[in-house]
Amino acid sequence: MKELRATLQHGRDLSGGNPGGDTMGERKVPRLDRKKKTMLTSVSTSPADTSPAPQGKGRGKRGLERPLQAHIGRQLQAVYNQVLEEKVPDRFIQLLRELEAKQDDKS
Amino acid sequence: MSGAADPRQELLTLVPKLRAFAMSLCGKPDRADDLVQETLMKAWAKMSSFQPGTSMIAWLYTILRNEFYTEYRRHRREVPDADGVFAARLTTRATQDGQLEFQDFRAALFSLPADQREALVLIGASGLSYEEAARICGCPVGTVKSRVNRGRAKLAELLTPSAPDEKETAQPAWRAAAAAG
Repeated sequence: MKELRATLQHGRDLSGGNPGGDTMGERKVPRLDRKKKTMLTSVSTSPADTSPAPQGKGRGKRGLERPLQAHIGRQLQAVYNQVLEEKVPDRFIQLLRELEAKQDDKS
Repeated sequence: MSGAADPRQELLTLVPKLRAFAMSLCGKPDRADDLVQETLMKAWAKMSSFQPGTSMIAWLYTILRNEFYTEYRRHRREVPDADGVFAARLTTRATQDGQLEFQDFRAALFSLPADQREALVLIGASGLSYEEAARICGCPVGTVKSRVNRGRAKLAELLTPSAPDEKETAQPAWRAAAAAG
């Protein structure tokens, strides 16, 4: 188990900062059978895993990236649109009218 | 030239966009509207420097942005309490589902440095191109891109939910992120 963990750790290090990391990790541990592979996933996502925080963060990010970025895009739009859709306050209509009146006086 | 008076007519129709941008910069409704007012007055006064055929909203955003940063430098300490005002404003408003999520997002957005938030809003919400945003911000396109990326990454980090059973490991990461930011 200790040895397996070490190997897994290694595999995860590779997958951490690399988009093609999964295949690379598999190549590094070719003898893992299906059952152990399942363990790999469960070990790596287990809260008992005492891997340092940056690795945990990287791993979480990979899985969440797409839906999360889509969510961010929608929310950004929502923040902007909320104000965009408000009725123009009278003060601005008034202001532009005054500016126009001044303009007409001048000419 | 008859065209000279026309751009001014456009100002009123662009007020909503100006307000939306101003709000995303400063976060305070009253101040945002003061910024818009300043912008409209400046734009009106120097309308002759607007080049017909170019994007008027980009031109107005440039003026608004300059106003904001001039004031921002003057009253730097006033800025951080924007979140509270936003939250208060929100709770009196919509009661849809996802409102909490929206509030969380807002708080996260306003915790970003102004330059990143501005880049995110210009690109992600107002629909401008990177080139237009770069011209507005007076910086290279690459700088806008990196601000957008850093802003997105930071938001992703702030918004990533931590499952209850991961609290033990999630918390140090959260604190480390807060310390680094």
